[in-house]
Amino acid sequence: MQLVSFHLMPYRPLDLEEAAKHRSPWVVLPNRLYDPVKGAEEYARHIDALVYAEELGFDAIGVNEHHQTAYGLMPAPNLIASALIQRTKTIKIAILGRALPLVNNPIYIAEEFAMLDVMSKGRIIAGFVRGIGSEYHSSGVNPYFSHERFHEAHDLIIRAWTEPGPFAFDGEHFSLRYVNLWPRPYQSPHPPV
Amino acid sequence: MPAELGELKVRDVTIRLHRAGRGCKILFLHGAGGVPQWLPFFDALAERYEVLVPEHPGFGGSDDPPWIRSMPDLAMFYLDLVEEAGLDRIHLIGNSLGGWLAAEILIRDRSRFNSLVQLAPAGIRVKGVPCGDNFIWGPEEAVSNLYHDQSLADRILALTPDEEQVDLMLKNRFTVAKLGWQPRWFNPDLEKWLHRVKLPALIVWGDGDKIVPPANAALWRERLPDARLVMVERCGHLPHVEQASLVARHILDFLEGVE
Repeated sequence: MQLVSFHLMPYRPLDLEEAAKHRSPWVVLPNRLYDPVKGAEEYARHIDALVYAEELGFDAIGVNEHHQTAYGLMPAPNLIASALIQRTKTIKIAILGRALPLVNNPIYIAEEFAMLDVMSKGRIIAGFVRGIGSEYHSSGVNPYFSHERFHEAHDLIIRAWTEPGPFAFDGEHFSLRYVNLWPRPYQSPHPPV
Repeated sequence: MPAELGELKVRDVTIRLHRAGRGCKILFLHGAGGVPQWLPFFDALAERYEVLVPEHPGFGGSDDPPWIRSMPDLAMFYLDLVEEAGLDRIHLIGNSLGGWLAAEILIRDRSRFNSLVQLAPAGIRVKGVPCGDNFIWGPEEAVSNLYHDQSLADRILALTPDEEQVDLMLKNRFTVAKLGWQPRWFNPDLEKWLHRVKLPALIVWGDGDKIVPPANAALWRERLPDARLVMVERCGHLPHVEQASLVARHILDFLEGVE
């Protein structure tokens, strides 16, 4: 068994009474309810807490992606992972995960994971997810094609990590003349998914 | 007048087709809700015309071919359909998503069509005036926002759909998301080709439309080369349902002028 210290970085100073007046804490909650000064303190304390997991003996730290919500302030989990790499030594960092169908070029996800993997000397665990329903409102991506885009992006990323480049990728949603990852991932054949 | 329910096969796709009346042909293209029932509006038209109401691929009792992935695909399907069914001199009527579809068809090939009636069509946008977001609304809100007259909405909401109806509503909803989610309810390439719809056109819009804002009506009139506009008072997104006899009369007068 492995233990992961994981949380979603909720915005704790949220005015719950005010928030309850809106349809949802996702997508449509007015961002005037977010205070960047309090938010800075929140990031500092959340990151401290996740870093502390190494001292406590956890096997991994988990971070996670959600968009346009007070529920979780990690729209770009790889940015948090990058900060964690600098402040930890041996613990694994699990990005649980990046929402593949939401991007128009999954190569950027492959590149970012490869960067993190090299920077951390192989401490990255890569998570691939589709995102929940609200993500399709905040990204505009058509949920009808979510499964197709997920599987195609998955195959593209794995191939980008493992096959010698440059090569061409011919998908229905993603069609790329040149796939040639710099950097390649540190772990072989690729970070665990 | 009882409508006749049949099927039509075009290449590998079988669709359901409701029809009634005799005379020149009216082809009615339904909106996001499909054709859950035959409407008094259709009866009013069928007194003088043959009214054809197909269920689009992906809706209701029609097949859902995986290769129809966009409104342009659906438009090409309908060009196949009118050709294979030998339809000609068609009066085309579209509502909402069906109006968008009508325009996508006619910019490609209008040779088998005689006129166009647009009932609150989607398909183009007025910048800064977004459509109502039926995808984020709850089911009750979505019904309520269709109508100006809330007693109509209340009567619909009082009905409990059976399992089969729920399945059909879900099927329609999947297809509507496929076709209309992004960009929301329009095709950025449609507006610039509307000058090709060189047919007499009638645009009808409810002044209380909460789905496709009435601000779109003026843009349609400007872009279509030969269009006039009728605004309907106390009316939501379905003028042919909410103001059926008035809208049918406008259409019949318009079609008489065309012929």
